[in-house]
Amino acid sequence: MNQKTEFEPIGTVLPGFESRVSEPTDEELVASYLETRCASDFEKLVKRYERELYTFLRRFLGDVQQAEDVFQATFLSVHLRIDQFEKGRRFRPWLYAIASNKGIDFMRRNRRHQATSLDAKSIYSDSDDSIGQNLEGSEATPDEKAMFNETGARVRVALRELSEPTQHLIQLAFYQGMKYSDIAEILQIPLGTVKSRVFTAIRKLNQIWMRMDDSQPARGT
Amino acid sequence: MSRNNNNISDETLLGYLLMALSHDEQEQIDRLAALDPLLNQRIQDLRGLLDPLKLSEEHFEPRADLSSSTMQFIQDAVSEDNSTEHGSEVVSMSQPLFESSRTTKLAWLDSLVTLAAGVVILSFLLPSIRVAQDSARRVTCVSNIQKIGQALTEFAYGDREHRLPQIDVSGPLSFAGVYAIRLKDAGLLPFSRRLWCPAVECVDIDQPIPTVSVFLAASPTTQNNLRYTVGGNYAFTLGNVVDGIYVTPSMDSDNVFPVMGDSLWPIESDKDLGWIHGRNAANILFSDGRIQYVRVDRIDAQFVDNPYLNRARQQAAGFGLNDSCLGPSFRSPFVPVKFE
Repeated sequence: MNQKTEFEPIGTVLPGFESRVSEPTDEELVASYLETRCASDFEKLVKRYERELYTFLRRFLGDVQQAEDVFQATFLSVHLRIDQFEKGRRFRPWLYAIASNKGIDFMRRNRRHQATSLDAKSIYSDSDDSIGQNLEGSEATPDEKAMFNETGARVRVALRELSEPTQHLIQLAFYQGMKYSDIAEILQIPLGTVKSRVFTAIRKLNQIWMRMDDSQPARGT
Repeated sequence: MSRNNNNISDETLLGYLLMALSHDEQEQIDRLAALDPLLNQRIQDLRGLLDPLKLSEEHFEPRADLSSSTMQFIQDAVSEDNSTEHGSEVVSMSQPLFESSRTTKLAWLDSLVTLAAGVVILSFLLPSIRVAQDSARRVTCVSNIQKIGQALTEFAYGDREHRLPQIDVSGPLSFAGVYAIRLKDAGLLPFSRRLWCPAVECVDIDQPIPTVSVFLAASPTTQNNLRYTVGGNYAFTLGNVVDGIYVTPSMDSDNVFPVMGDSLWPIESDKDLGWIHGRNAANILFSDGRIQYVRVDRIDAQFVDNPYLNRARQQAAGFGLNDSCLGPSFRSPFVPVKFE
């Protein structure tokens, strides 16, 4: 199919573009902060992980306010424990380990409240952005977008049927794109266990999703 | 699910699709999959397991002041009572949050004398060190570009119309860095890791380049991250629109066009880090095999057609075969595309 195109002026750096070029590594920032206690080093770390960690917590906890609270508590904890950060260790898994523990603590403390709010959020997300809307050049029709959003919501419902540790595992492996070695470090379990658990988790999710799909009334064409 | 004879478990293959294995393991599976159709088929089958997850991804935006309010939150927490409790944490004033400056520990005069002496010594040493470093980096960069250029040429001559790797008009594979992914798929990638000019330090250098299959299986967030990094800090030709049809250039073309070069995109909005060779120069590979070291501030005077802009002074696909433009890894040929 031939497509007629129309060029438009290009704006500045696209949203979400966080370059790591010519910037100190996380570990260098931690080392510098430990040495100088300079606020800007710590702030760089907070800014660097602002979007990524918030997204992780927002998805994990299912609530904006809770995600923000745990985000702040995580970095407070990072500050308080930063002297314990061992040289040669990587910062990202360490940060996620703290954030995960904080998130789990938070969920346990708010379990009753959480049980209702999670269900609500999983279906009526406060974000209308879909993959299709975020990937440049995507040209789904309104009908396709509606179907995409509806399917996405059903998958998220299926995800909520999994246990919290399994959801957590999928968050780290799929949504956060973490290496298995990092997940093993975060969860303090052997690498082989991570591999098999992730596989089992994703297979189980597929089973739930297929079951839900089968129970959907057939669509008219 | 069928098993083949190489004993790689489905668990490991799923890790491969998630790009969650170590770099060496990813590479090993790449190599084996290229030779073993059965293994390749298993990977394709497993890709289906990730499809539902790809449909479910949501994008969340933190509020604009989350970082600053977090800094304030920490400051307030630490400034509180010595024994203030925050959940299970006990905040101790013995651990100061931020010190304004360590230089207060030194006498001002001592500092100034030391600083002045240092500046004098450095003023003698730095230029020669920098020139030597820049020169070495420039040579390594040329060598990198030669290798990638050779791989691109090989790729083109394997194509029926001798065209460079395809950038999709839209969708997840619509960005310049897809060249690296296509080269990887064709087994022609000269490096196993991402393509960084040695003039730029990068902490992401250890990341492998995925195949098309692995890239498409990745979550949209991972795809978006890869989009910015997979082509390294090189720019690639964004192709041409000829009679309303988008094509990548053919190496058979009579026109000499820029194939790739150092990326000149300012990396951070508040810093001008785009000019990577002494901040004002770049290496560009042309289709006739020539690598030209260009001064960026003189680029318009040196070239009739600026290699980094199309005829409309945009960083996008060119208008017709005589108009070429190099774009950084993340750049799509059309931003945005409007369809009639």
